[in-house]
Amino acid sequence: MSDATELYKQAIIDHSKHPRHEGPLPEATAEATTINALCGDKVTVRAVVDGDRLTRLRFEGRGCAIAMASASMMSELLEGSTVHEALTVIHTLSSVVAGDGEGPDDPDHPVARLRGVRAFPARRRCATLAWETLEKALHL
Amino acid sequence: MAQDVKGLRAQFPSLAREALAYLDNASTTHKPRAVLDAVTDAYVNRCANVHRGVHALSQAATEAYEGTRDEVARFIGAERREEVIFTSGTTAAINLVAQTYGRRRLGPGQRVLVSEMEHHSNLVPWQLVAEATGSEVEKLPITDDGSIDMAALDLALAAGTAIVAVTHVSNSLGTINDVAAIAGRAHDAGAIVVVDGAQAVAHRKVDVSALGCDFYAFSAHKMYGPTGVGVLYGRRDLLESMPPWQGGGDMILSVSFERTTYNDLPYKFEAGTPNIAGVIGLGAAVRWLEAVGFDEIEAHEAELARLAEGALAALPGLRIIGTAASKAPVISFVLDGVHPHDVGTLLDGEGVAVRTGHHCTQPVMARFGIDATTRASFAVYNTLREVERLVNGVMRVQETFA
Repeated sequence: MSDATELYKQAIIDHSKHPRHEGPLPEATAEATTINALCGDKVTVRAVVDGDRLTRLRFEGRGCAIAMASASMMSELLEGSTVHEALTVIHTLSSVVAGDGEGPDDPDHPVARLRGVRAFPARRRCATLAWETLEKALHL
Repeated sequence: MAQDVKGLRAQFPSLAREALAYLDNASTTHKPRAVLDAVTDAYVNRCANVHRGVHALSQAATEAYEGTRDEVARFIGAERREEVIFTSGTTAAINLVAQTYGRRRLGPGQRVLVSEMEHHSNLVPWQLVAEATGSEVEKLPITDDGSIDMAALDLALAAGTAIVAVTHVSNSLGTINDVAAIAGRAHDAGAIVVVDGAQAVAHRKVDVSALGCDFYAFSAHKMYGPTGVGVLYGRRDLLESMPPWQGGGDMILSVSFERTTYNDLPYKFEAGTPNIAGVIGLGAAVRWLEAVGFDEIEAHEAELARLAEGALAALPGLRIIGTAASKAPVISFVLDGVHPHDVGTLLDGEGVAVRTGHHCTQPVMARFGIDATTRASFAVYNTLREVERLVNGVMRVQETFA
């Protein structure tokens, strides 16, 4: 199995075929959209922020499997976390995808599952798109 | 097949890695040793500026550079050598026409007709000049199979069009346009025709005189030559009537602060030191193509494309985008439920290099209601084994996503 197939089988396919937390969120208090100009992928992330906690997190978008699966994994992981915790994980993910640091030891942690995208520099932005969009929403 | 295709492949040092099936030739082709050697020779044995020195080395460089102009003129059927302008590529050639001929010819209320299948490089330059002159860019629509809508062409010409911008071969659909017919109708209506030939010159014999086009642009790097060099062919009377585009050395006859007179064709449009080694490499690419022969090239590439398209089209959930009767060896497709970028990454994992995305033709994507395609494009050095690897690779992508 090639590295690419392994990445898709282990991390991407399940979430891209069965996305979690996908859909609208009319009561959202934070929202941002990012378009990856290179490939046209587009993702919108919406959150209900109650105090310092992300009580609800949803995404909508259009694009490749890596971008959509990554958005799904992120939404599943970070719903219920605090803003501070979310920003910490987002920064860990960008470092890991950029090749700076290994991230969590738990192989099933979404950040660890997305680590494989490192091998495909042209696709790294697909993996980080939703996460940077959430960060943008939280800073607005 | 008379020509030994394996023998050709051995002439490409960059293809020695057997593991790679390079099917992204519409982006750029690999270079045969004859081209690489010509570029090296230009730097080793003719390293001097052109048109300047009285010394022997400059003379040698000038002879090779100007010799290529003669070869290119003959290669594309231009009547005169001064109708061949060396540029940095197709994009620069089209911008040159837009910013000189276009600016002179266009004014408020006038129209440039641009086909819906143009690469952005034959659309955006016209939008820029339209904005500057108060003229308009109008879309020449394409049909469901990816052909120019000739009835729409007639209507637009009858309504008044100054310039028609059209590609000879579509980079994202593969369609070969009937440039001669388009030029004939355009001329009858008083319009001139600017042709993007970037995807044509490596695949078929191009004769600008037979096509009857007014301008024809192409790039060396898509025809086995070096990057950073291209050609603008223009009809002499039109080139004569055009102001220079860029000012600098070599494009002048005399310069003073009071008055500068411009050089004759083709030098009027070649300001500054040109890509001398690149032009010499282009000359080698022309000779290489002619030695292989376009009959051989067309036959081999058509066979590869026929087999690939047949096998791909038979896969469930795969749709070919661009099904015109006359096509270059370019196959664009979409797969149900799999984004082209994922197809590209997974094929890359199998050692198959294809292009994915909008191919700098976003209006084409919009026309077919898609964001992107996967595109396999063939060159004469590709093999049937590589077609098999492409098709098997696509089937494995489908299995991965099943």
